[in-house]
Amino acid sequence: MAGHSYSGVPRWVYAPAAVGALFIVLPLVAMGTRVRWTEFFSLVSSDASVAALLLSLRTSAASTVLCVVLGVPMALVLARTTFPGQDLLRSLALLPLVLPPVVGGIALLYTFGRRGLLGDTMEVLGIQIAFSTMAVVLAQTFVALPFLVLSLEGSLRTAGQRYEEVAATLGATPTTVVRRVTVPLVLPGLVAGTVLSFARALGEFGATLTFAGSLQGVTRTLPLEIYLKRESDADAAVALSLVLVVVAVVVVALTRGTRRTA
Amino acid sequence: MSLHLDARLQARDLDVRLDVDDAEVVAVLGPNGAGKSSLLAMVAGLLRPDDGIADLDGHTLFALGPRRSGVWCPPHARGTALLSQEPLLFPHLGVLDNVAFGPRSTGAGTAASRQIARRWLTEVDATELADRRPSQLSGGQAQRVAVARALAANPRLLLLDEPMSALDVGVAPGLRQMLRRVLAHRSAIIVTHDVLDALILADRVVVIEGGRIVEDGTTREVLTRPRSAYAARVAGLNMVTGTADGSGVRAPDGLTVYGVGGDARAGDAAVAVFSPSAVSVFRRRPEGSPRNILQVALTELEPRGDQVRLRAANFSADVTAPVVAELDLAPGVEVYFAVKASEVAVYAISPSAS
Amino acid sequence: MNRPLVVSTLLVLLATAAGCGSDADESSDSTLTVLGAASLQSAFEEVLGPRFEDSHPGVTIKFSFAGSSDLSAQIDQGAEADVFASADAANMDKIDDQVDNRVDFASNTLQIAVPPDNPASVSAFADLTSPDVNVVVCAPEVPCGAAAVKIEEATGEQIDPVSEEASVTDVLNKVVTGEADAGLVYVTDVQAAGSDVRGVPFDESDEAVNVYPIATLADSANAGLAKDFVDLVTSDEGQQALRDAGFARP
Repeated sequence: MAGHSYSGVPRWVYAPAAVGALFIVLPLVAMGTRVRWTEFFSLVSSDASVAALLLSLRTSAASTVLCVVLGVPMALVLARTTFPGQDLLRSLALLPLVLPPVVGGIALLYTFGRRGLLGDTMEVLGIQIAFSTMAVVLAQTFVALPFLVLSLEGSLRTAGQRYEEVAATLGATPTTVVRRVTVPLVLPGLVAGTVLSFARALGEFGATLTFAGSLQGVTRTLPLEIYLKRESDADAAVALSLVLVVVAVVVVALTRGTRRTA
Repeated sequence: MSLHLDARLQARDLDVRLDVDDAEVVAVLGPNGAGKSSLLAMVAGLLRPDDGIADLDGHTLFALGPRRSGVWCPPHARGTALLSQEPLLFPHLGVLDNVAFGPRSTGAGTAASRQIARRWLTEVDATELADRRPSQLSGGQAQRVAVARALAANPRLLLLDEPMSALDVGVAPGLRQMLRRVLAHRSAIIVTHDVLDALILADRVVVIEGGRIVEDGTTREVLTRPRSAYAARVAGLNMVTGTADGSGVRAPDGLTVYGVGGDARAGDAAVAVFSPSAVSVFRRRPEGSPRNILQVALTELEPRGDQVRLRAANFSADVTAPVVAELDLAPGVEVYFAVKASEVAVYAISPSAS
Repeated sequence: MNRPLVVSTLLVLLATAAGCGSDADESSDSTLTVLGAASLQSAFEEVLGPRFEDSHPGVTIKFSFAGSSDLSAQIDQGAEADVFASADAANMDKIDDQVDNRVDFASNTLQIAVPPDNPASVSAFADLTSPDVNVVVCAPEVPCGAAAVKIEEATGEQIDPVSEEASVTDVLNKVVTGEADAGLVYVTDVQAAGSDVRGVPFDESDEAVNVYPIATLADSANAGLAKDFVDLVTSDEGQQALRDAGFARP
């Protein structure tokens, strides 16, 4: 950046900011010092670890797709239309953000479980959700969906509707408008929301534990594997945690990339 | 492509009736908040009236209210294209794809729509901008591209909402000339508060005030015999209509007023316009520097703040109170109005506006 | 001009200081900290704790129940405590050099837990191997899971579970909510769950007996009180309380 620009940041802000940064960075550093680096590779390449990592990536990807499929329409309706009770609906849609994930898992259980609200319907259809990978995807989607809806709705509101109006007067049907104008204009917000959802789904633990169970290769995602490893081999747990940190860092780096090109 | 509109919207206190004939350009004048943009929005399908009907070329745009069929045609199916003050070019598309947007959205293939786009860019003198992105265009350039985009959508009726108001003063005339050319055989409604737009582009003028249409007639009628406060204010310009003659305008009665302008060719219908504040008043015919001299008899003296407006049959002049006293001016007195050619603007106008 | 910087730093320090400090210094003679495996909660908290406080006026017992490996790790990291009661020998072995007065005080065996209506009609260990039964067990890394593996090896019967949980509580929950047809938990868990589950005992459970050791911590500031508590647990009184909760002899 050529030349000095006015940043508007008073000097006293730097101290608390530094404390905040340290607060996040120091625990990561502390973890790094505990890892037995010489055994790191063997620790993370065991069958259980690899299975857990692959399962985590697969399920997170699936739930992110589900989040986009469900979340984009939700954001569009919340941002672009008005109807009675909309504020209430918005609060409810953001509920999974505030709810402890374990509570979310219990709620899912009471809905999709054998004895849940839809339990009988599921049985008739021959669908068994409990203890299946599907349950993991559902749990992850439940907690990650609000992230997408929230960031996308904000972007949509900011973008405003004027371009959509022009497009309509030029002859574009509502579907064409969404496809060729609305979505491309909020693409940065959509990408950021998607990446956020992916990261949240990847780290999801409480709801998965309560709702899906824990079986290697089927439902034991990486966070669950770490939780289990802690019981027997704390250092292996730390090593696996670092793997998750690396994946998270890569994910965040991806958002930074899109924000710059946006 | 004729429009018939008769609608009411309580929330904005709007009650309007408007007809636009085939290939007619109607200018809608009015103060801010009068309802001009709401009127356009109703025609475009972006604003829903409480009751009323509108049809374009026999095709119903809407029929709402008690005892009506409740038809509402969505904006994309109306055959109208809207151009606003801001160009609103899609930032994520290049200029060519912006202009091609209309044809593409209605089914044409990419290549075909781009061809149509190039044609219209040429029409608006913006061919060289085809490969740029909207962020690289100036205000005037962007508005040109927006006009091309609206036309490329092949609308039955073009709606323009103050298209020049966000542009630099120096850029507006060029755009105005271009619009004159492309609107030549089209139906259009142009909302504006600049009377030059009405003069140069429109066949008919409609004045809207407080949500109601208060005047409807040719430009000359509305401006020379205003029947509303707004038109009268707008008409505060001195105006001589006639045919272009060299660098001046010759009125039917033989009076020639010289000015600057340049786009009117000899024999074109034209108008010479100058402001009352550009007029100097003399008791005796002044000699010397080239000026337009008009001999008039004063009919009225109207105090306006620290100025006095002297009214004669067809012209007005603004002078300060001391001048009135010095020249001993009063109704009935014969005076000479002098205005420099450099303060008179000469324009070619729509033939039907005279 | 540097004053705002100083003030803000002070504010941050104050905020962090406010969060701590209120309970770190109460390990005076009047508090005894006991870390116990989760399965010991009802016996310790409801019976032995009050009895100890009655017989030692002025002393308050502070219990902390969690997975034995968690507690063991906490002690290893320097947590301040006086007594540790583990659900298996392995977790006590990990910190063997930091404890004194180690003694086995109870044992626990596995039992099959089923929902009250027993939808899969489970009556024996062999029923768990049926593919139609949704069985949930503990993961082998956890004591109750290790016990399950021992029984499988001894009987030669392999269970194909739908989930391997990291804690016994999670296994129990799956049975209570009806998601699982059966779960392998401890006898004490079935008892504590009351009418939420039905217990199905099986003979093969004797193949895997978890022996619970208890010990005082060498670094304890209340060595005398700690020893007293251990003695209470191993006394007839303590053993009876444990028996009532479902534990067996060590």
